[in-house]
Amino acid sequence: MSFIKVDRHTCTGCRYCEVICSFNKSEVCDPSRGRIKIEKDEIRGTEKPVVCRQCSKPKCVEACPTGALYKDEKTGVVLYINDLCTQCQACVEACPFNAIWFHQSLNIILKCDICGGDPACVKYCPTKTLSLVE
Amino acid sequence: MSKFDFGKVLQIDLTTGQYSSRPVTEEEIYNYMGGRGLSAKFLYDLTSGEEEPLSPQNPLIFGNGLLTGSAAPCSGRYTVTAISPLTGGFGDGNSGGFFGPEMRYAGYSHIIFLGKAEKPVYVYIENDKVEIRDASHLWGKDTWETDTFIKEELGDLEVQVACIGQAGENLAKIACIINNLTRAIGRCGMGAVMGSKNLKAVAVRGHGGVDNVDLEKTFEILSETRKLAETDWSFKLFGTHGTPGLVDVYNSRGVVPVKNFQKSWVPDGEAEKISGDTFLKKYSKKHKACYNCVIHCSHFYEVEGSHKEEGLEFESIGALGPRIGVIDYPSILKANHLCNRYGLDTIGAGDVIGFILEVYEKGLISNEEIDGLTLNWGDNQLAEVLLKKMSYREGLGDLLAEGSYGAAKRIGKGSEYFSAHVKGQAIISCDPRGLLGWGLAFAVASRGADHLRAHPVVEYIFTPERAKEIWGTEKAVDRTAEEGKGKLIKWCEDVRALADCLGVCKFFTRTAYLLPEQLAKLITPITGISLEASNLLHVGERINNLERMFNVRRKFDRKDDVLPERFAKEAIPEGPSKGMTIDVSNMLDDYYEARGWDIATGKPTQDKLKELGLDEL
Repeated sequence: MSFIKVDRHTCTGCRYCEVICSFNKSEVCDPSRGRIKIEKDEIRGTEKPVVCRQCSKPKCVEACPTGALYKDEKTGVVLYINDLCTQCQACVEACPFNAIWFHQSLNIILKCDICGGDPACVKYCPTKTLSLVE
Repeated sequence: MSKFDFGKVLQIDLTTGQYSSRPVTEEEIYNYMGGRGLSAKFLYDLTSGEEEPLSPQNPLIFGNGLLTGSAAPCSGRYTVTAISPLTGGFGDGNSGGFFGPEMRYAGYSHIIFLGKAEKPVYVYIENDKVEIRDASHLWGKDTWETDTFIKEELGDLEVQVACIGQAGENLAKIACIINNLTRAIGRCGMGAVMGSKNLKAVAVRGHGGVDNVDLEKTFEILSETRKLAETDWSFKLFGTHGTPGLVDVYNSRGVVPVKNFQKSWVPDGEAEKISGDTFLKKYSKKHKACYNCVIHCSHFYEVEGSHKEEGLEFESIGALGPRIGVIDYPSILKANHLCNRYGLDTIGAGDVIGFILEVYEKGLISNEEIDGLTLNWGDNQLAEVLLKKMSYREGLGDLLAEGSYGAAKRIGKGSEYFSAHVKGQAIISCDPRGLLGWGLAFAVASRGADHLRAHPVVEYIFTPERAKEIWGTEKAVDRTAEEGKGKLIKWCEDVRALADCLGVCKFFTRTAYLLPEQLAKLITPITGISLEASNLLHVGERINNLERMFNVRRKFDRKDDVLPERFAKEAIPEGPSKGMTIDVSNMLDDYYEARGWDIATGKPTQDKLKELGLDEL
């Protein structure tokens, strides 16, 4: 089973992962299109990278009424078929980790698919806060 | 392949409330790149040379670098430009954090504020929406309160805010602009210019992005430069200690000013108390970073029972520490925190405190003029009291808010001798007597005493062989020699201008992108603009000449390119740079010659201006 593991203690909050993700997936630098988000509190000095954990029993897949989300049997990664998605956002509500987002203007679901096994965010994270568990 | 969008220039007249925008042109990019360079062009065109810095006629320009918000590493920087109330000449400050990229995502390369609002306002920009909102309820609040209030009021925690504290409101000339609570547009008194416009804050939110022309090539160049950056010792030092690690670097060379430059070395035993190691072990809790930063030179630190925040720079340690005789981290950190909240430049604030302590020591101000305070070197509580006074211009604070040069002009009695300034701006906490190249850089910088225009770290990191190759003499990298410094500083200034125009941090460009060849490699795949290294150096040179001409128009000339008399008269009394003095005259001749400027006046010649396409100035 593959997923991106997060060590929140080493995250500096630079948001390079958000940018590189949107860059790699959408060919544009726009953190709001990232499939990973850093939740920051500047006064307390905390940051928490939020990204899909590819759950073994994914609530999002259970909640999806059209089969747009499914768990890949080989890799364990939860994948998304845009053509089947009706933008009902049931998955966004169902995710217990708030790791699925709906992008208003693009009208798509944003969810990590570990870039087919070679995630750009992991490659570019300057502090190795992110790592791929295979 | 998509087309790179340079963003728009938004112009807002605060007097009338009218605003308009237009795209940045390709010609502007080719000539001035963006950020500092393009802002310099705007400032030159919008002024005549007669404007008062704190009048509504002074434009205030927020400018993003060409690569701000792009996939380039460390590309979170933006510049704020205006006529400086400290120097009366060209002024700007540069800051990291997350404000610049957000402004870019809202669609803007530059935002120009003109005029003056009738009452306190803040401007909220969300993509194409521009709102001038009432800020009466924010006036009087510090930068942290302002940041929090605005985010709550707008109901969006991801809004990025650049604001002033009480210091800017009260037109303290050493006031800065703060974003992300602790990131500062520090130098040149840009906070006072903002305050003079009744502009409490600028809040931005963007939902667009920055396009990129060649994804694959960009990824390739990102990996290549990252590897290159990691070979520099400073990359490692900043990644662990941040700039506090420079306390040891500069103190071991005997150039850390103590008691307003009376000495320039903190002796062994004492130095450990304010070393980078001590900061790391006792106060730092974790590493922090600006947008897209691969270095993470910042920290989140905590002083138990006092406060916690992000940040701490070497310059703040120097200015609020040894420069005022304080060798005590809790005191330095408290003063640093207060500067962030009041919105004061830590360098300017520490400088003026050091100045007033020495002037009092020398008997040039009386007990009646100091509000009943006891002014002693090394008083751990004193900075806290004085920072508040200068932010509110209360009593003695009204004098201190002018900065050391302005205060010296008011006091008279020869007190200017003790003001460590060039053109009215405070010198940083590196003693130019022990670093001659840096001294020349301070003397000629367009925004007054400043190390970042040239940032000549190559003076001590390049090998003599490399120096000979680029500047024709090995002596260029000998910090005690005058030879070759003119060429060295010209080259550094032209290269560093590029970092400011691209919005990429100088801590990254000092290593991987130090050479223009490497910068050109990065710009092309992102923007689609094909450039040679020589084109880039030409742009850097154009910008330095444009800023020079801005100052020439405001009556600056060779006589203003000087260091304080003290540095030529008094040798460093002890430590590794013992016996050293600095007189820039000879180096200045070499510098003007390297620049193609008239040696007698320091003015760019017509031939030089023509060569750079600036002959219409």
